[in-house]
Amino acid sequence: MTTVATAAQGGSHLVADLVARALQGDDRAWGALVARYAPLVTSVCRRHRLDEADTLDVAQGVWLSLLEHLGSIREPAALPGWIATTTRRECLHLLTGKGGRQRAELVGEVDGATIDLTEQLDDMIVQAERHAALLEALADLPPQHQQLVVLLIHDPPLAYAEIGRQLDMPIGSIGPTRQRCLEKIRNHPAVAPLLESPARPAHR
Amino acid sequence: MYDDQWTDDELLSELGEALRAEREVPGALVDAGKAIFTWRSIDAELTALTQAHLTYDSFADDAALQGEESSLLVGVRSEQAALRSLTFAADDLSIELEVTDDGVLGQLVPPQSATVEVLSPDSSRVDVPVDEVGWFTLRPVPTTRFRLTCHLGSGASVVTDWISL
Repeated sequence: MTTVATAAQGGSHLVADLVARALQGDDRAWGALVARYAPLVTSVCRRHRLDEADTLDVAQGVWLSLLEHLGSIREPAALPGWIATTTRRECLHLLTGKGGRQRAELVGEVDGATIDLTEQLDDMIVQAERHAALLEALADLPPQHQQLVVLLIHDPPLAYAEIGRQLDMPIGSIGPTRQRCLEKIRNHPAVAPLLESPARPAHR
Repeated sequence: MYDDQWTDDELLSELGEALRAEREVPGALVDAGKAIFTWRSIDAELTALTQAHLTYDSFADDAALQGEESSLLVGVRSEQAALRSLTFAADDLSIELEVTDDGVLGQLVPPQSATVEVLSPDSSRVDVPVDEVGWFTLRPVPTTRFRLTCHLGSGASVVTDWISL
């Protein structure tokens, strides 16, 4: 398994740059940080079975904390872990606070689930960083190649003839282009470290 | 599976999962997160004010009393207890809040006239009328978290922690 530390390394240069620019008042850099970690915040909220309104409430608390702590981030690789634990704390606060009043059945569940949640949190961090790296690599492909990848993973799967029609691309060039796109993604600086890391058990 | 190499199919399926996870994010979550950036300027302004911290929360009080066995009773009690009380305290001022179904009743202690403002994460600021003995009402109950600032006649200003009801 890829460890939390390894998973975060690939994106840490980008994240360090975004943090530095956000601190200088660059709202687009801040927006990129929010977009990067939004899936992680959402998945932690999902795990706590929050509905959309509560998820938005929790996320607001996470973004406010992130904004307040932006200046004290020393190690960008630790940021995903910080986001996940902050989200979890906000979730538990909400479930045992106001929401817990109306949803007593969830309070018991939270108590019982606390232990394996810590392990799941590590898994969610690794997965979120992996996804962020892949999306970063995808976004760096030329637009037509991005569209090709999106059509290749369409569910249900699309025939090459249909993909060729949609992209106005000869069927014969889809296979080789697919190959080139995947190689570019594999070799992307955000993705490559995930593939090179030796297999070892996730550390706690 | 995720180490060493991904096969083409594994890589594509991971990309599919990444896009799916991104689609599952509520759009408002990202928009609200981006909008919060404007809070930085208010935050800088607030650091100069006296901070009033939460010193009492009737919910937290209940939670502390609640053992494992009684956790199922929580829902029952909540339906009967419509009120939540909160106190925020600074050295020279306390702000007491009582939450009801249709509003939040506030009292400044010691009683005095002041200007009270509700600050929201989207940086909106709403003035709340305060009477001469420090009573004020927020109506309806705020649905997002907020902070209160109190500008006192003495010239001092106090700001509360974030309040989430």
